[in-house]
Amino acid sequence: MKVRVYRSDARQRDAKLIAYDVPYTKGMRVLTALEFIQEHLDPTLSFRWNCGAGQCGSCAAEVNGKPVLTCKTEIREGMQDLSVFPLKVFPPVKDLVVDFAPAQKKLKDLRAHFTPAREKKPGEFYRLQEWQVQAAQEMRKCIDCFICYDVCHVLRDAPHLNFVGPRNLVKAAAQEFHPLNAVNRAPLVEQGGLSACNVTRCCTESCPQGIQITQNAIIPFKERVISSKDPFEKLLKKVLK
Amino acid sequence: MAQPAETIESDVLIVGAGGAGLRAAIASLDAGANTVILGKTLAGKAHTVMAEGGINAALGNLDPQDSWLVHAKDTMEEGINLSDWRIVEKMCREAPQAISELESYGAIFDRTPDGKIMQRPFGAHTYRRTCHIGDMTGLEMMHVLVEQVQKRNGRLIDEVYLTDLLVDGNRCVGAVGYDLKKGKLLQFNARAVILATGGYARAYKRNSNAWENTGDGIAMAYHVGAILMDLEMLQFHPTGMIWPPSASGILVTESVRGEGGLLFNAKGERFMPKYDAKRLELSARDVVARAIYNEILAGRGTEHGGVWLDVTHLPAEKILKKLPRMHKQFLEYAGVDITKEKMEVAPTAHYAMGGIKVDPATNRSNVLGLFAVGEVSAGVHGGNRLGGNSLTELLVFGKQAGQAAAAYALQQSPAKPDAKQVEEKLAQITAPLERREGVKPAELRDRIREAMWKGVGVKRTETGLKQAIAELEAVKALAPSMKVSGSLVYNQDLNTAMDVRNMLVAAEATARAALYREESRGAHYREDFPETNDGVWRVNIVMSKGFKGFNLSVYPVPRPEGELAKAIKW
Repeated sequence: MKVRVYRSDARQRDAKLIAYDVPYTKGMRVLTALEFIQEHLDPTLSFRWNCGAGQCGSCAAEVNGKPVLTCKTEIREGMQDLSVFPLKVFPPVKDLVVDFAPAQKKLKDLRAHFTPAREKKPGEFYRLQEWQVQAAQEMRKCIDCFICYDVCHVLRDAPHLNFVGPRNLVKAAAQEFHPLNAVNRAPLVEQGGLSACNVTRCCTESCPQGIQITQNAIIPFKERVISSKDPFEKLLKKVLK
Repeated sequence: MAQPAETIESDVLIVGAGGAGLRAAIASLDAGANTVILGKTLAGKAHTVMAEGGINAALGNLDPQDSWLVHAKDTMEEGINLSDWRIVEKMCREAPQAISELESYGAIFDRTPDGKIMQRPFGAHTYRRTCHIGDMTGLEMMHVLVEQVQKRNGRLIDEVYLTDLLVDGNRCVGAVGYDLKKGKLLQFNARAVILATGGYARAYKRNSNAWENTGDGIAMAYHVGAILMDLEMLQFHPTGMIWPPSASGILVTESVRGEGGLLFNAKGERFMPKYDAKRLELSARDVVARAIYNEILAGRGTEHGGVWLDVTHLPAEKILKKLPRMHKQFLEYAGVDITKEKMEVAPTAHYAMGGIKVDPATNRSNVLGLFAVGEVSAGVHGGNRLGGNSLTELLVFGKQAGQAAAAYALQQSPAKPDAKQVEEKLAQITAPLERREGVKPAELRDRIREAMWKGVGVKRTETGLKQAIAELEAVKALAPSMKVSGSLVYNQDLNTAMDVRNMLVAAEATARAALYREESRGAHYREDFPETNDGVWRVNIVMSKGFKGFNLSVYPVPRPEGELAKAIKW
């Protein structure tokens, strides 16, 4: 089986696609093929992985043009010609390793940490119902693999919009939907270019954790942004105050 | 000579950004210490994310009779009287407080119908006390801990491989390593260092651990004279995946058996009644692991060398509701639908109960300024770990270690490591890159893992252990001639070379301690000494670096006092 792997250094001098011959075994993962190359054909090949069990989200790469977790992606018999590229939306470090720092930096502006209305006393416990926590719990399934970030066409085609990206919106939603959250992140996500997202659902369809990113994170934020500007709602709030 | 490209100063340097390291960082930052946290992998992706089942605390939300004392008693008994009762008592007393803190960091646990934190039953616990977030408890913990560190503006540097500690006399004053992404050599000057580097089950051929768990902390501490304890105690989880090879070792959670899963050998016989007629599939982890191992050795194993774990007799809806992650895991990794087909499983190396010996009240090691916490430390779990206790340990002792290290650091004069020592240690990193020829690191790594699996595994004998030690010594002799090509930038082959250095220390210590302990206790099973002998062996085996390798001696296990003394048969 031929596995073509993108090779480069940080400055992408001599970037090239190298084809390796890897013996195919049934049940093999893309990560297994990369490990084989590193151990037997070229020890200088670099790629990230950690748990090997689909739980840490370190090993994402573009396999035949589609970003996936390489540890989970089985090489099926029909996939004999394989190409593996890094997540192209991020600055490269080496070969398949990229730098997530730009995305992490954008997250800082979203106040994505728990901010309750009042600090709880030591040893005190919250009373929360299952139905209250489900929305936030879905967002907390995120394993930060950045696959959604890589497929987002706003990030790919319009970097000047400085969109915070789907993964960061999931992180913001994980806090926003905490039943005791006291921060309104609508202005923050608006500044983060939320309106550029035209809900094509690419992120949702590629999420290995099955998080309904578009439906349950992005659209609720869009609604919050709109309702914060609605003159009637503004008036209503004033009256209620 | 090798020089650091950058020197980073801090009061407290925390090595490891898993649960223990992050909790320690929060405590250290709150105490006003300038804190630097290093992770071997990306921020938020440490091995703690793989913790599935939950975290123990005697909240009594479902069973009001539960108390810290029952929790402590369960922990001591499962540890077969090797645990330090002072550490166990502190953990069990403070566990509810730790859960409350985690909640105030924003963690959302599953709820009971009346809105309290849900608690599930777990093996060998008297009451239901395992708090959880589905089967992703570790992931949620890591999320909120990273957020809290960032909120406090803690400096978290990820993808740094730390290779050696720096000492000034008997005081730890920093460390050296390299930044994977930047490909730079780094020097860290610190008034106190906390090791939170996790375990070393990667030293076994089949294991459930992430790439990073190669015993780095144990090796670094050993080289500067720290005392190691209970290294022979390595937990094998009875059920890990074995097929396909790329999924080998991945954990199959205990809840599969908890929900009614049955074990069969290749002949279709249900074999657990032979080994434990009472508790059957839900017997203690070490008993089930040995039973499976026996069946395989007796030639009753499956084609790929395992046994069958079967839930097909359960209704499909129950499997999908109670074991969603397992259903997904087998479908994605093995193409097996567990509602219709059997799972092929075998024991997998899982958790190191032993590690660096620490002071119960501060998590200090015997080296001044060096602290250890989490799986890299010893004392809580003794001969066998109770499921759900490792996450509790991380929070309770992470906090203690962070506070103690900060208090110590703030009283110390600035650390001034010796430049020559720095150069020497850095040269060990660059040496494999400079060699024109030599052995492949991956080859040595595989030899260690093969030797440990064969000789220091589920069942041990004197001959097997001696063979393993001989093989480890052969590998050790070759290690100084490892050759790595490429540069310092994201060089995984170089990481492997460093892993080999570290795994050798942890592996040899494990093998030697296992050879020394001539009895069977908990996770340590000697075929030539199958009985537990409290008269002679209720002792902790401790080891440290001597002139000629390991110095080995025994300490009696501290006798429980106070309320615990009355609860425990001693």
